[in-house]
Parts: sequence; structure tokens; C-alpha cells
Amino acid sequence: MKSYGSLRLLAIGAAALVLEMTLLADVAWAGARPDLLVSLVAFAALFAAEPSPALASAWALGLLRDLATAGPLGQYALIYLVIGWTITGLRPVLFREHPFTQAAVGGIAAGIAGLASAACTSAFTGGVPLGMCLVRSGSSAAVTALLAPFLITLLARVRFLVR
Amino acid sequence: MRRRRGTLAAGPLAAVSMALMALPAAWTQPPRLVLSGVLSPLARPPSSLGRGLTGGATRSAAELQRDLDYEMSRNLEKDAKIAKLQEQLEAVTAARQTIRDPKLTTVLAGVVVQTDSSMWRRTFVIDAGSTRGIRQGQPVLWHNHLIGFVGVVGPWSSRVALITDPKVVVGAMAVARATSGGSLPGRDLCVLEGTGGAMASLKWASADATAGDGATVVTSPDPHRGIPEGLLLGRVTGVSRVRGPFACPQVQPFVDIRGVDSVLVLVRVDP
Repeated sequence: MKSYGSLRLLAIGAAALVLEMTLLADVAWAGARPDLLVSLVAFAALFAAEPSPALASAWALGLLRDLATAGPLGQYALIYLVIGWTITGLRPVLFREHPFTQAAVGGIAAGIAGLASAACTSAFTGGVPLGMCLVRSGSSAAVTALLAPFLITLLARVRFLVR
Repeated sequence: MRRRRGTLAAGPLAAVSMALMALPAAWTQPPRLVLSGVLSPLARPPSSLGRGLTGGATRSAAELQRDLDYEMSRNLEKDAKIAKLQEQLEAVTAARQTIRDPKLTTVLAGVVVQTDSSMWRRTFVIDAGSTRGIRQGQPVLWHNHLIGFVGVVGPWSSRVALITDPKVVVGAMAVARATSGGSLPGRDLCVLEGTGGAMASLKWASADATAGDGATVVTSPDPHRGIPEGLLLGRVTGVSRVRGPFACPQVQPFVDIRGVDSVLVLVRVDP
């Protein structure tokens, strides 16, 4: 049984990306923007009935982010796929309904996504200063940890959005 | 041992991701730029969206009043357009005063998407592409400020890397503030590199460089890349003295892309 529609989740991801790049473009804390897509990856991995749709959704959400960046295509797809795979692997030990779990999963996922994408950027284009990399990834993790419980609860409760 | 079901799907997807990453940017960027162009209606002011909904002249007082309001709003719109054109004219004039080379001309382009979805890249998308003579590596100006370089070109749009993007490296001169003693301001030749943050950094500036806090950073001439001398880059806002022979000044660009709606692409015209 599938607990959400992958295509609807992708549509929400596209809307979230447009929101990030237009209205929320100037909302940054220590240079870090809230990573809405990683929260969706966390939702997909936490609430999927089976791992395969969760991984496909995570990969597709990453590919969406790749479409709007100057970096190599597939970079975020791979990062989000690894994050989705890790969360699905940890699901037996996670209490997914608890907001603290959702905040922790969202925050850690955003931090890892930030560090991994910084490493990719350094490898493919040029060096990102280590201090900035740590501060910005930490800020992104903190902001996403605050947002993730709201977004995940919204998607879990308002079922018509994703079913 | 039984294999978990998720690992079956993760492997092929990871392989596809890596295969995509291995593709040259020249293949993957044009379709992405076309998709970025889809966002252009969102970048327009909301007032312009309702323009097509009005119209149809009638004689009743209420409708005449509405027509009048509509015409007044169109006048305001024209005023705004005139102001915008004046600003563009000033931008071109300012750029022409700095660029002496008659073989260099400018192409006006609108900014479509001002941000990059990665927090480590500083790029934006303009609505001019190869059909208007845009090529990779061309400098992008706002007035007489160098704000970046064309990174990837699509047919109708291009992605520009700002001078704060980690991919950008440009020859620069830091010009110290004039001293009260009347001596000539010092000039330090160095290289400006983007960091992915709000500021760029100057590399290879010698530790005894005279240009400190407040120094103005301008371009040094690079005929090969079509960069004229003296285009403004930013201001030195701090110098970190690291171990070794080189200082590492931080440069705050003068121009914030969030306040820019059109830019000039510097194009070399070969006879």
C-alpha cells in the first residue's frame, strides 16, 4: 500500500522550489536558506509504505533542485537519494510521528546535504572556505529543523495534498 | 542473508545520478535554462498580470471612471518604463565611458531568475542567449561595474556566474584610498576569487600590500577575455593576515544583484 502519491509529492516539490527561489530568495540566516526539499525527502522516507517509492521520490526531488542550479546535473539527486536511503534504513528505530524526530531528521538531513553539496561544489568548480561551509550548513540545518515538523505534519495530516 | 528491498532501487538511481554528473555541462545546461525561462512570469510585477483582464469601453459614469483609472495607471506604467529606459541609457553610457575599445559592444539583457537553487553557487539567469550573440565567458556589467561572467549559454537564455561564485577568477587591482600627505594611492595587483558567500577574496596580494580596508577593487586589463581596465568590482572590507607571504583581503561587491533588473553583456565585435 502506498501512503502518498509520488507525483503529487513532486508537484509540491516543484512549488516549494519555486517558492524558495522567488519569495524566500531573500530569507537567509547566516547565508543559509531553509531547505524545503530536504524536508519533503524526509517526509517521503518516513511515511512511504515501501522503500522504493521513497527512494524514487528522493531522487526525483534532488533532480528538481539540479534543474535550477549551475552545478552538475545529478549532484543533488545523488545526495538526496543517499539521504532517503539512510532514513528508510533507520525507520525501524525512528518514531516518525514525533515532532522532535521530524526536526532531528530534517535538520541532520539538511546539514548533510549542505556539507555534501559544498564538497561537490569545491570539487567541480572552486574552493568553498571551510568556515563558511560549516557555518552555512549548520544554519541551514537549524532553519530546516525548525521548519521540518510543520511541513511534515502538514503533509501527513492534510492528505489530499499528497494522496 | 536476505537483501533489503530498498537497496535494489538505490543502486540504479545512484548510477544514473553519477552518469548525469559525468555529462558535460554544455549538454545538461541548455534544457535547464529553458526550464528557468518558465519562471520569468513569476519575476514580473504582480500588477502586470491583470493588464489583460481590463478593457471594453462603455458610456456609464462608473465605467468611464474605471477607464480613466485604467488610463492613469497606464500613464504611470509608461512613466515607470521611461524611468527604466533612462536607467538603461545611463548604464550603457557609464559602461561606454569605461570601455574604450571600439570593438567591444554591449547587449542589454533582463534578469529572469536572480538566485541559484544551490546555496554554494552565486548565479542568475538572463533572457539573452546564443541567438543574440551571447557566448560563454563574456563579461557581464551593470553600469561600469563588472558583476560576473556568462557561464552557460542556451538559445534564449544564459546563466551568469557572479564575481562571488566559486567558479569566477578575475585579475584585479586594489587601489588604496588617497592619503592626506598627498602621495599617490598605492595599487596592488592580485586576483579576485569568488567564495560562494556574499564576499569575494583577493588572492596573491603581498603581505606588505598598501591597499587595506576601504580600498577600491577594479579590474586589471585582460584582452584575451575581453575585460577592460578599470571596471569596478568592490571594496575591501577586511584583511585577514594568514601565515605566509600573502594577505587575504575580503571584497564586498558594490552591486547587489537583487536590486538589478537588467544587465549589459560585453560582446566583442570582430570585423
